[in-house]
Amino acid sequence: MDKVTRKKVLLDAGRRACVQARQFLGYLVRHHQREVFVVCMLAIVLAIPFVLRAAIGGHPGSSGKGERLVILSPHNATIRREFGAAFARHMREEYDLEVHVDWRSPGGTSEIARIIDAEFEAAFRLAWEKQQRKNWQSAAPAFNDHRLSIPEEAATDTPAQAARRLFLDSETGIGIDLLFGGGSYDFAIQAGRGHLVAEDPEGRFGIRPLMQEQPGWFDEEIFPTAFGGEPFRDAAGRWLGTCLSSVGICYNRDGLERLGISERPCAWEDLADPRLIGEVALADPTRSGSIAKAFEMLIQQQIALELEASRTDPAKAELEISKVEIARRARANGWRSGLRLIQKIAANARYFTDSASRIPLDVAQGNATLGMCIDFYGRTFVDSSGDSSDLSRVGFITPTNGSSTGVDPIGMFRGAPRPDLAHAFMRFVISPEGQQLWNFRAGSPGGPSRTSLRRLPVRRDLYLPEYLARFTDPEELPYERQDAFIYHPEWTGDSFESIRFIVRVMCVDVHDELRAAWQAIIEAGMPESALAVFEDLTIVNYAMAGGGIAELLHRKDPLAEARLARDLTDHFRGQYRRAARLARDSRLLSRRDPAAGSP
Amino acid sequence: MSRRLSIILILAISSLFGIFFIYPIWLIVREALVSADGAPTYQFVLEVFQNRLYVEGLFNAFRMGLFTTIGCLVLAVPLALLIDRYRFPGKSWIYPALLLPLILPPFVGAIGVRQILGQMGALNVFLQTVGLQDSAAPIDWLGKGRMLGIVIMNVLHLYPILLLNVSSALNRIDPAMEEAAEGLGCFGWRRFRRITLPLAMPGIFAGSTIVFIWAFTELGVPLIFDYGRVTSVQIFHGIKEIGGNPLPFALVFILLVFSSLFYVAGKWLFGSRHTLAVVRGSDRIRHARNLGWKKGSLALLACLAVLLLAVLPHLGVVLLSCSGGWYGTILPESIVLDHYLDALGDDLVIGSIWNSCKYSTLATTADIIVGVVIAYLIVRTRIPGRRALDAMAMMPLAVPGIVLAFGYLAMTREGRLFDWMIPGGNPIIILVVAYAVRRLPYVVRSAAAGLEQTSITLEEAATNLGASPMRAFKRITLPLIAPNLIAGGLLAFAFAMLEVSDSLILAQRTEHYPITKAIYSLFGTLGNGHLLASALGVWAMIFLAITILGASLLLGRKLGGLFRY
Repeated sequence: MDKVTRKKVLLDAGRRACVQARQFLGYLVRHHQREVFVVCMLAIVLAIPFVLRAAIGGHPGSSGKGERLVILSPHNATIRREFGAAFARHMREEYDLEVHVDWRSPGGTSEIARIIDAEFEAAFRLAWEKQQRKNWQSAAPAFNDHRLSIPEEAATDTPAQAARRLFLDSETGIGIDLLFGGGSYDFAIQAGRGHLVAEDPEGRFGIRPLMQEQPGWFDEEIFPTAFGGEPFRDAAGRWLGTCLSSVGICYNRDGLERLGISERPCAWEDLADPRLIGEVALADPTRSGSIAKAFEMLIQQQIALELEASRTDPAKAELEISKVEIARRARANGWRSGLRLIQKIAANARYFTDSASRIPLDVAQGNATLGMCIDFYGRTFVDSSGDSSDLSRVGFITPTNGSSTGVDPIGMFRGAPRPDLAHAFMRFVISPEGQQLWNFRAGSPGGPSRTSLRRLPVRRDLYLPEYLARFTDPEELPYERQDAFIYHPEWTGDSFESIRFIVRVMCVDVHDELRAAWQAIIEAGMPESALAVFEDLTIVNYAMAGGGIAELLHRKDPLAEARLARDLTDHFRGQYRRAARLARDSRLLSRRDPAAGSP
Repeated sequence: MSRRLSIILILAISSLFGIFFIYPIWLIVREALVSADGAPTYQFVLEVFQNRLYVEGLFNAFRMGLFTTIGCLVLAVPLALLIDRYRFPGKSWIYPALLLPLILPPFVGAIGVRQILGQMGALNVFLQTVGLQDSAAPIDWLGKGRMLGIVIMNVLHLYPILLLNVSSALNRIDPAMEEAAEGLGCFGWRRFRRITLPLAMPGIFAGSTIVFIWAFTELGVPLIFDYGRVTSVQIFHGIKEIGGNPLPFALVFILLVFSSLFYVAGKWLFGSRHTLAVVRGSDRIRHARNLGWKKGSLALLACLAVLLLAVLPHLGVVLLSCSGGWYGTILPESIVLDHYLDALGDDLVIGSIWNSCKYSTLATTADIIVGVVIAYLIVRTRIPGRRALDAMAMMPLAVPGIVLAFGYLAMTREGRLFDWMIPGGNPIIILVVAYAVRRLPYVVRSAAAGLEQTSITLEEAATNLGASPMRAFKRITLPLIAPNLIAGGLLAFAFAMLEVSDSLILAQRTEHYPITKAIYSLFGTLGNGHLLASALGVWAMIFLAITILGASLLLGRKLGGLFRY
């Protein structure tokens, strides 16, 4: 066939195909309008994301190509994205290496803790069985038990000690390199279990080698080991803080006005105002170590106040009571006042949540008036809740004398598949370049590319004028605060577990009864008789919390713990119902005889 | 089906159930049932019953289930009758639209509700604007009368399940039965009570059991109302508690046992005792009565009223997703599309859409195959163990998602027997299994209802004429129960697309994220996360809505029955 004929044939075929296609489309439109309509609608809906993606273009550092660093993190998506992209850029520019961070974020800190524990147990079991060892039942609870001491000589090991030794000497890993974000409490637990390590087996990568490599960064003047009594990095080098974190109060100005509260809140006591019943959004101390810590601070603040008062009380000085006794009494009284404060705040609470972002959102939307809020969420919502004309409707404050500053740490997992990259990431996060990301304005040189993170860097040398000029929150100078709270572990350290447990049985589990009693007491005009029953906390006093309750919790006997919880919740339920009854009786009485019921 | 084949099938299905349902749950729940030295213990279960808080939680869960089911029946049965028996303007689109309230995206649904019903929400602002409320004392809709609120919201969310099941059952009743009743002088209410209701009972029972178990174990709605004293919330909070408390796992076990008991009791009380042999086998079509202009408008208005109430949370999410600011006003202050640009243009989204469609389609296909087999074994055979299988097939509804998700994670760890289910870190197999197991009850119930309404004599006639049992099933039974399968399959697909726990825990790498995890990830964006998550949530709602409406339009012609309006 010559060229011309071939062209003609092809043209004919093309024409025929066009005609057929047109006929087919015509047929479809005539006879299958519905089908065509549905398919078109589906195609449009499916095409929208593609079009929008093309419109804004891809984000740098998210290609998924190159070397892979796996990081398990409860950090929010903004932090993950900014750090992932900045680290990839840093590695490309400095080392000509393509790296991408494979973020694993299965949920909040409680889900992550559960996953780490379960993964390590499964991984170590595999190693245990590979060594053809038997009796896994005895090894299972022991291998990550930080309370188990290991003797020098392996020969005298009990089966449990042998398991623990085998684990600590092993490179058992879970296929993840780093744990990034959470609270120092969570990291201390993971480190104690042996899940986090200071260096890889060769001693080349990890926090300890990093400290040797960059001794200047870890100078006390630049990166303190602890501040205000809070640890900022692990003494054994298994984790270190990367940015600061504190808990404060966010509030809705319209809500306060509606409730007739003219003063803006400035201390934790303000959350206990009876006018705020049903208006307070609280974080749940039973589900977050950091929030439990905040509740502990609240108690510590009351103890500090009691100690201060007892020192200046001339009556006590005259009685010549020993200083130790004065301190003991002050602690016991402070403990009681602290718990009573928590009780009233909890009675005002709408809910206890483990979602850090829910509280400022609810406050911003007016669903709650006040809330206990992590600092950077508070700051972000203050900015995003203002209209152009006036002040933001949301305010955020760090309570005076009542909030210590903690850290959000990072640590390397045992058996990390890429210790070199993990090391590089940790070095990046602690370097001035990485530290700038936490508080530099988005888009400023050295700052995050899209969104400001509003967090405060841990390194003190970042709080210098040349950096502060580019900070989103230059007025926040955590190391300069005169009223910085000092944490005293000796006051409540033994009772830390107890505090969480007591708040659970006294407030969270019996919240309905607690709130009903508080409502009745408020409506009755705060009758003393009812209030006395309501506030009776003898059963969870300072001695009990640091003694019997702490010991029982320390034993890790879940059944005994469940029984104690049942007894205490029964006790508090009964107590709150009694208080409510008394309040109602008193109200009835005061209605009949207005003089009798007044407090 | 031969007895031998039935036994083989029942054994195969039971083993599948054992491996993919009981085993993963056991891996997690054993914490509460086995003591540290490996011996079985009942102490934790006993402890639950001794603790008044937990007993109260169970009682409240039962109340929630019972009242929600009653509420759904009161709402859905008249609606189904109206739609099945009468013609009125707008009927062709109102029926599929009435199913839409089921599709509420996770995470942002609660925010949508609070945006409407919160103290400074749209409803209160509206009431204040029209002078029905004092702005200094707004009503706290979500804080007061919480049980009533939960039941109302449950009913408005779940009635479509019952509506779908009841209308497919009504549709399949042979008009000749009712005509015969009328011929014998049985009209109106009496005819409904004596003829229609008993004939539609399989569908009513199927829908009610799903609604009851769903509401009995519902987590999201009590959480919206911050209602803590109900078993599902107690489990959810307990599992997240620091320090590992085994009691929530004892509660999971108890919840499962109670759900099975309630199901069996329900079946015994209300289920059909024998297969109904009087249901339509021919393609005879009932002629719906025309309601006329006036009554028709009233009927449409009633449907619209239900729909409007039920889509309030959805409306909240839609408005939120395009709001430039929404506080203290009835509607957003301005409408912007930036959130859509940021959310749908995100790196995660395109991959997650593809992943979700893939996972959900495969899971729905698996559900339809396994569901039909289970339903056949339950309805058509007299094989021992079929009743246990029947109850077991409902259990996935009662297990908290997070328990099953952690169970799957545990069984697929490296070195475990099932680690091959995550080849090269790709969770597709385990996610499809997880979605399929959790959504199986919808298909089983629909298929069983369909089989109960389809006379076995039709199959027998076919085999008498020389067809093999398989051919008879394929050519006769399957086409007859197809509307039921589509109804169940649509529910399974929609809910698989919206599955949360398995998606969060099992899809670990970004390239495997389904839509729900992409929504979760966007939700975590600092500052405007809820707006971005709403935008992707709305996209998912639209996609599912078109799928459901599209299926009703496309399949309606071929299959008749269910969607032919």
